[in-house]
Amino acid sequence: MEFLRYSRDAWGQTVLEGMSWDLFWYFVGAGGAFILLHMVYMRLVNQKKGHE
Amino acid sequence: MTVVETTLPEDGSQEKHVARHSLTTRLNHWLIAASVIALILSSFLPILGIKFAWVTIHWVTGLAFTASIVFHTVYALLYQDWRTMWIRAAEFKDVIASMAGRLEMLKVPPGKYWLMQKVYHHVITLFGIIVIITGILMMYRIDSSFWDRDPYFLSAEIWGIVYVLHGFASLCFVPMLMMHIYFAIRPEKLFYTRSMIKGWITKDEYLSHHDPKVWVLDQESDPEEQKE
Repeated sequence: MEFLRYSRDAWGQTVLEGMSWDLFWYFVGAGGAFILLHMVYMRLVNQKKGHE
Repeated sequence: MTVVETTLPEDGSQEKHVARHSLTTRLNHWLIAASVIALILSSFLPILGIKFAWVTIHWVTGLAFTASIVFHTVYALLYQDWRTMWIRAAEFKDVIASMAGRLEMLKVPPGKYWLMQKVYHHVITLFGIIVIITGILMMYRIDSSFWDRDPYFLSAEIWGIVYVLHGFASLCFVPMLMMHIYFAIRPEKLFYTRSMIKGWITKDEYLSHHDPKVWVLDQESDPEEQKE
């Protein structure tokens, strides 16, 4: 997995282009994972609350 | 400070409303929301293969976003109490309880905003500042009716860093927006979403989710004129 994008300029030198867009789905996944974990956590918290 | 409206709700219930967000704050919030969604779509859809003339949409929306943030900053400093967003170190003991939304577990009672609401605000502020500064710099690389492009304004190395920062902060906006929408539609948080539409929460919601000693209400004047 690449974190950064590079290209070559007119003189053949490597130039930094920006973030790698392959990372997009990792960021989406991170958001989704947080939401999923929070949903599970809240379900457990509410179950515990129900037993109290 | 916020007010308890002296009028009763239109639905005829006897429950009093607590003003949480003024009309100005709500309009500003929804303008920021619309511009963030437009910015994310206009930047990432072309990357995902949906091609359209995104550049003009993106920078014009970026300017609207920047203006909204500048307005929000000035308005918050002049007409709102910035201390409602201040985080004390002791509050970090409440990270888990704050995530669970359990008032009874908190060691530091919440004022107008809970710890995680404040953390979210500050994190998104940081990413917002990064995309605004780098976005304005990147406008030197495009032509418009108002200015001519100057790609040599910065060296190639510095441009690379500008693009990395803009890209990274933009990518961070994606999960941040997902989380924001998720919390906005969670059943126990829906009253906060309603307050961002209608401006108020009920007195019961106020007392069950906030400490009246920390989020102190002013019983009298006009909500639009009060410091929030």
